[in-house]
Amino acid sequence: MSQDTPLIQKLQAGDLEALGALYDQYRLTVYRTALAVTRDPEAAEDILQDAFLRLQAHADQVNSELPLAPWLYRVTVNLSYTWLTRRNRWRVPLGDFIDQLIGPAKHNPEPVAERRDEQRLMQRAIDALAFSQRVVIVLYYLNNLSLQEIADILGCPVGTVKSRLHYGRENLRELLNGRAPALEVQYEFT
Amino acid sequence: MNSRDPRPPRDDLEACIRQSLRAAYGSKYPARGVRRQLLDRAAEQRRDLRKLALPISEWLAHSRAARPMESGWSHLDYINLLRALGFVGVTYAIR
Repeated sequence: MSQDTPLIQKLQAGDLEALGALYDQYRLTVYRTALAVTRDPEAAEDILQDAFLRLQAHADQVNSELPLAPWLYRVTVNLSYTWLTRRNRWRVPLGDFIDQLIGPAKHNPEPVAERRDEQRLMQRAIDALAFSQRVVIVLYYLNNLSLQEIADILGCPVGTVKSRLHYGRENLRELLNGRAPALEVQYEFT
Repeated sequence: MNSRDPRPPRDDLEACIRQSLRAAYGSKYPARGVRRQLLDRAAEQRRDLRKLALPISEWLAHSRAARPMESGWSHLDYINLLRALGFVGVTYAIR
């Protein structure tokens, strides 16, 4: 039995207030994950609503004995992927992106401003990653999930998560150095 | 699931990734109206499901083989619909 069990059971019995309570509990997790993957606040709010509407529609298929977070993460990732596929927004023109990164830097002596610039560049580099790598980077570094938890959410082996994380980091390093990222190796660890 | 302490970064890159993501998204909140909108849509979704499920008494009056189905729906789809509406006991009874 998990801490979510009573609320999930109420929801399964048709209690909309239980849906509201679960929303209150998980809204930030879902919203921030969707926002980090899509980079679009409106899309993230739509995904937030759709994730909980799916929870209501499929409540009978949710195992009330298990924590709800992995289920919500899985739906959030799937909805984000669908949104990105439809909008085709994740394809940042790589040449333009690298030009911006290696272009003449504005000298700014303020350490805080430098840190903000670093974070902005890193954010742009994360945006340029392939969806599969970006999702793993977000779940691991923003949501602080373990490799096993991410593997369970994505429905893939832990070795695949490790591989995506490794190549995601390497690609970020390459992008920040102004080079084209390496392709992800297609074999998977087991 | 995400409540544990952050892992210590292995190098500057990891620290930078984590700081960047947290700075960008760690303090973002959905608009306040989203909750109300969600519950309104959830209530509407339930009303739509109920419309589909009616008339249940007529449906139950038929033998299983002769029960009317929505186009493309299987018997299990209908059972799942009733369960989604909270008719858990009934659905076990009519299986």
